[in-house]
Amino acid sequence: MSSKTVRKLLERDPEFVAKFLTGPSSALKEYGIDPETLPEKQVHALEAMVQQTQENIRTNAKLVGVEMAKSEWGIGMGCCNDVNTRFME
Amino acid sequence: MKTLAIYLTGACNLRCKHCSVGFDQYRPRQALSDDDIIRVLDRAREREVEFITFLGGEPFYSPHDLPRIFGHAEALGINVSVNTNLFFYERLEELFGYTSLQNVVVSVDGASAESHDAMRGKGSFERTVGNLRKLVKTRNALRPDITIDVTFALSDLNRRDNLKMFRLAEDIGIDCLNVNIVQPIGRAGKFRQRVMGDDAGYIEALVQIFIYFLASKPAFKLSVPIPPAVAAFINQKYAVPMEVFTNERMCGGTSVYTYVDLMGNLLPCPGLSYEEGRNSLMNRRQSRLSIVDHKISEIEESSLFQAFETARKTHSKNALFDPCNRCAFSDRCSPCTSAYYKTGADLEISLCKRVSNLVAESGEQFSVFKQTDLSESF
Repeated sequence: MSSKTVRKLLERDPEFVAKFLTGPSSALKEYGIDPETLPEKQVHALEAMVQQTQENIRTNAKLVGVEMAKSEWGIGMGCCNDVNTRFME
Repeated sequence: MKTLAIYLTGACNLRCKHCSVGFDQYRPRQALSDDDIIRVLDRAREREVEFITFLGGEPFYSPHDLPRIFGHAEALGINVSVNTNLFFYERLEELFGYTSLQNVVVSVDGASAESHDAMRGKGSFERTVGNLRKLVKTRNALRPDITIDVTFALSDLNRRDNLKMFRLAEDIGIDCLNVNIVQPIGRAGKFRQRVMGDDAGYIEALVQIFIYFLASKPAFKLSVPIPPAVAAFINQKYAVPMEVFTNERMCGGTSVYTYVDLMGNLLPCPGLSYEEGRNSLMNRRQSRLSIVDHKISEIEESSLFQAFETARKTHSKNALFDPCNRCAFSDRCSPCTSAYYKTGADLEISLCKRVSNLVAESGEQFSVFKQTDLSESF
C-alpha cells in the first residue's frame, strides 16, 4: 500500500482517520502497512498528511453547533448535564 | 428547573453489567403508585417544569398504567421522555397516541450482538435493535415530532465498537447518539475489572469517537459528558479541537433537573438516592423531601437542596476531591456534585481520574493537573 492509498483513506474513511490520529502505527498495520519498512520519503509524506488531516478536522469543528444541557431532557442517561453537538450545515 | 426525572421502577428484565442501579433488580422495591405519579406530575406542572423523564429499571417492565400517566401529562401540557431497553415495544406503541410522548432514549451498548450482549445479556441485541428499527419506521410514519436517542455506555466490553456505533446510528436513522461514561457503581462496581478496563484504551476509544464525529459529519447529534480537564488533555495529546465538546457545567442537579426516587423523595440528583448509593437513609420517604406531601418549591428550600446548590455553584467542594484538588479547571468546573456527599473508595470523577492516571504515567507535560509534589506547575 502506498502513501497515495493512505491519503485516499484519510480523505474518505473516517474510521481510518480516527484510528490513524490516535495510533498511526497500529492503524497502518491494521490496513496492511508495516510502518517500520516505509522509506523515509513516504514517512515524510505521511507526516504532512497527518497535519493536513488535523487541519481538516479543525475546519470541520468550526461547523459544529452546540446545544447546552441536553436542553430538552436534562438528565439523559448519564446523570449529567450533557452538551449536544451537531453539524449546522 | 427544566426537567423532573422520575425513577419509575427498580424492576428490570435485564441484568446489565454496567447498570448503576443494578442491585434494585434482584429484589425490586415497591414503587410509587399511579396516583402518586399523577400527583408528582401535578407538582411538576405547578412548578412549571417543562419535561418529565421516566427512568428505571425498565419503565415498560412495570405494572404502571402508562396510558393514564401519559394522558395526564398531555392534559397538563408536559412533554415526556422515556428511557428503555425496548424489549416491550408493544407497550411503547400504546403511547403513540399521546402527544406528551416526545422523546425515546434506547440503550444500545454495541453495534453487534457480541459486544451488546456481553453487557446486556444474550439475545438482547437482536430484540432491541429490531424493535428500534420498527420504532423509527413507525415514528417516521405517525409521529415525526418524537425524537429518538440511542445511549451507548462506553465500557471495556464494547469499546472496539465505538466507531461502528456511528454507522449503526446512521443506518437506523436516530436523532442523537449519547455516549455515556461507565462509572464503577452498582453492578459496574461488581464487574469493575470487566467494564472499566485500562485507562489508555478507554480514553483512546473516546478520542476516536470525537475524531470520527468531526471527520464524518453525521446527520445526528452527539452528546458526551466531557469535563474541561479531559478535553484539555485530549486536545494537547491528540490535537483534537475539543471546545465544542467541553462542558464545564457537568452537574445539572437543582438547576436543569431534579430527581424523584422510588420512595417519593425529591432529590437534587440520582447520585444521592438509595438506588445508586445504597444510602440507607434514602430507603424511606423523608418527610421534608416528599414530593407526594410537599410542593417542589417547598422542598427546594430544604437544607439538602440549599447545600447542594451552593456546592455546585461555588465549586467549593472541588478542593476536597482528587483529582479535582489538582485540576487547572477546579475554579470553574462543576463535576459530579453528589460524589462529594458520598463516601467510599469507588466514588470518584472516573473520567478525570483516568486522565490523571495517564498524565502521571506518561511523564509528559500536560497543563491539566498539578503534580502532588508541586514540582511541575501549570
